Amino acid sequence: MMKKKVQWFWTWVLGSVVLRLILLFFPKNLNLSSRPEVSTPLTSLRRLAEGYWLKQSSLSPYAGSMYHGSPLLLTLLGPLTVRRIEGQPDHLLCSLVFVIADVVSAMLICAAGEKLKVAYISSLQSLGLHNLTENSEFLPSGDFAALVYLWNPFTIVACVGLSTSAIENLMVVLSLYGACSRLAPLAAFGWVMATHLSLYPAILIIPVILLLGYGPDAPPRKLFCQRKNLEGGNSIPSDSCSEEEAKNQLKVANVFSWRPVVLFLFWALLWSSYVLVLCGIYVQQYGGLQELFKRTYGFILTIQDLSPNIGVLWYFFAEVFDFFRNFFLIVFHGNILLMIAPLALRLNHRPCFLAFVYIVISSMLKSYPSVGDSALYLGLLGLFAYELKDMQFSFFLFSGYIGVSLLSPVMHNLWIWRGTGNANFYFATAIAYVCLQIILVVESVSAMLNHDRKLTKLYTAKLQNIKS
Amino acid sequence: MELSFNKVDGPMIDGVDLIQYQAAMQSLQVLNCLFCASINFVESSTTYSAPELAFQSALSSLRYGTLPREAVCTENLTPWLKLLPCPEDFRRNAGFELSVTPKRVHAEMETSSSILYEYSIKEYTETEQFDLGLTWKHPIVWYSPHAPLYASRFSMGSGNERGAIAISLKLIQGLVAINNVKERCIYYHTLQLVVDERPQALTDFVERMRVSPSEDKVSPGVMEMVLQCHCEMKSAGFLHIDEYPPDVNQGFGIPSAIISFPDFHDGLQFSDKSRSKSPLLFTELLLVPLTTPDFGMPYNVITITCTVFALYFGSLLNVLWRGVGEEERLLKNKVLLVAGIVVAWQYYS
Repeated sequence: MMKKKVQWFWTWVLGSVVLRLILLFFPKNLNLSSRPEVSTPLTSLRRLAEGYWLKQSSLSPYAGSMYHGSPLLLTLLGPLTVRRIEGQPDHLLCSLVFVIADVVSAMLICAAGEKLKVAYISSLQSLGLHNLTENSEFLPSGDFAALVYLWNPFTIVACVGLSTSAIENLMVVLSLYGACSRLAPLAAFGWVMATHLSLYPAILIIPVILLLGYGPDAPPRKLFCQRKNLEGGNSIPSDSCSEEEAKNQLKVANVFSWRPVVLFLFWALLWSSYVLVLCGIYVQQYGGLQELFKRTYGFILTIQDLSPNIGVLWYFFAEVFDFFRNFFLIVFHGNILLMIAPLALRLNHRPCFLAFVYIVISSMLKSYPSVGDSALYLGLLGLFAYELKDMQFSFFLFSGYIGVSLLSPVMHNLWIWRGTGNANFYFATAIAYVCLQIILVVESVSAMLNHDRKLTKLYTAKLQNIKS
Repeated sequence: MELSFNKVDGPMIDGVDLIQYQAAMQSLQVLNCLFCASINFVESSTTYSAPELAFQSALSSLRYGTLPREAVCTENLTPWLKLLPCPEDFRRNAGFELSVTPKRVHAEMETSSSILYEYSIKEYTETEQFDLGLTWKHPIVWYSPHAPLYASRFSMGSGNERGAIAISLKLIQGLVAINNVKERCIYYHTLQLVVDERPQALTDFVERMRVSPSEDKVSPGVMEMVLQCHCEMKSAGFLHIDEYPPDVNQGFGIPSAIISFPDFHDGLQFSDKSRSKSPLLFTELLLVPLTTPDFGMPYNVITITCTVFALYFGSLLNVLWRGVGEEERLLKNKVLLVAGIVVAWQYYS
């Protein structure tokens, strides 16, 4: 049975890789690298090639208004953009790098899912809720999430469309896997690189610290406190051995261990210093680190590029008057930071799900969103398939994502190429897309909280049975 | 400083070119009034550039700016012509020499500076006809019987997204080409060199190349290189509503490309030998259609977007808060239970 499952999983993985390779060799028909849904000013490989060409011409890669990404990414991917194999499509080596990044991300999601499942089953068993774990609905969520990530059309489009968001997603998944496995150096490396590449994963430091301190996702922490009180009240001499084991489990489940967190912060500081030194060496003749931050993070925070994408901020800041521009910049960027504390207070016992919610919110409200961001959180959504099985509006969300995926290129074509539509057509699909993401994040949080309340009710009923 | 008004056949008919040094920047307002043209627009750093190769100038403070959308008319020169001095002795013209002395010379001093030469035809007969020779005092020598180069620049592609700017050159001599592009719309790494309709490596034909990429609202893009080139263009850019020209549907004018010949000298030979310089060849102006937002939508966009953000914030906070209220009710039940236990304990003890 296990061999069949493993073979089934790897068959699907190889199928997704073959599909990507097939799509890579038909680039002229697809031409996905110029789609505004795929290539943003930050994730476009063509801008990276432009920056590398400027670097080779003894100019600053940030000269002009083209390249705004990481200099480390320029160092790694830049030589691959100029190496053309005869008779092959352009940027083939970069495409292979993105395929490998997608597969590695899926493997890390699978491994993290396995750890989450084992920890969750252990938590439920320690609460005495054995019947939930015996339920056949308890899927292998790691495999499921990995396949959802690999076969998601958004992931395939971002990979074939030469978007560097595959690298960013790999770094985010690496930090989550490192935190789930309690590997502080790996989690720190992933978090530092993800923050360096696109700035928004900086808010993932909260779920990463909670994962390292409390461990993976678990039922609400007060259930363990109630169990501790109950165990302390009952004194059964005949079961002294099992009582000691239960006390040890309670200690492990309740205490926030500071040692992995301190280790993580130490390694994060180390990796940050290392990255800053490398970037400083790279850009010291082009204005130094200050110019680098202005060109990369300043470009993100001030929304200088008004090219259309699937977010709403490009049209907003193309239309808003200059007098109010700074005010709205602060409001929109503050909206991401504003929900960090309420979510952390409410979902601190589920750090991995908290990270998923943070990723959805940042991909919804970031300056230059793309389908690569959606690919990441839709893949992570598969990790919580069991807890979220009662989520409402699932079919509506599924149909909405399909509708927006089909309508967005149509509206863009009507506006840019045919001229029969205007910018409002494309903006309407962007608004619909943001509304879909809002419904997804609100309903997923609601379903998770309902799941926790169901566990609370089951445990309370179990306690009542024990007392009577 | 050199100021020229060009009338070029093409989609953009007129244009104002201004070649000046940086010290003369303050004179732009005076020139603006003097020539009835919007020359003061060249003050903005987005409209002038600092080429190094095209003008064969050793001065590093050379600046070159163009106004492709400025319409040119003879009225631009009217205030300037009024300021020109009249010749003090119009009988002895400084420029040319007449073989027959005119009978009378009229100078219209009040209205214009034109001079009228009057000849009497009655003194001549069929055998002795009137023959007037007009001779330039300084001879004109043309070095080239025909132009050594034919240059044309055009845009390729379709739609508002993918396209290219191509400069076609024939009968190539040594030359330096410059194209001044105002907006961020060029991927310079897609530069291609085609010789006799076959792609070539850049290093085989390009002696020198200098690129200054354009930056939004700061500086135009300049590329100076030898021989012909083919660059891929993305689009005319997406601008803020304040940055669009008054007639957005006309499109965006890209200034002419300049072709200079370092090995040639100007055809006209003046008495002042120090004015010899390379001739400049200007290509057509390019008209690139702009991608426009809906200019009637600022209020709608602001309200819809802020409503979406309020929907997100309110819904998510409501979901988080709802559970807290329920827990408070559970806590209240627990408190009542404890109170009941206390009362029962008091009663039975």
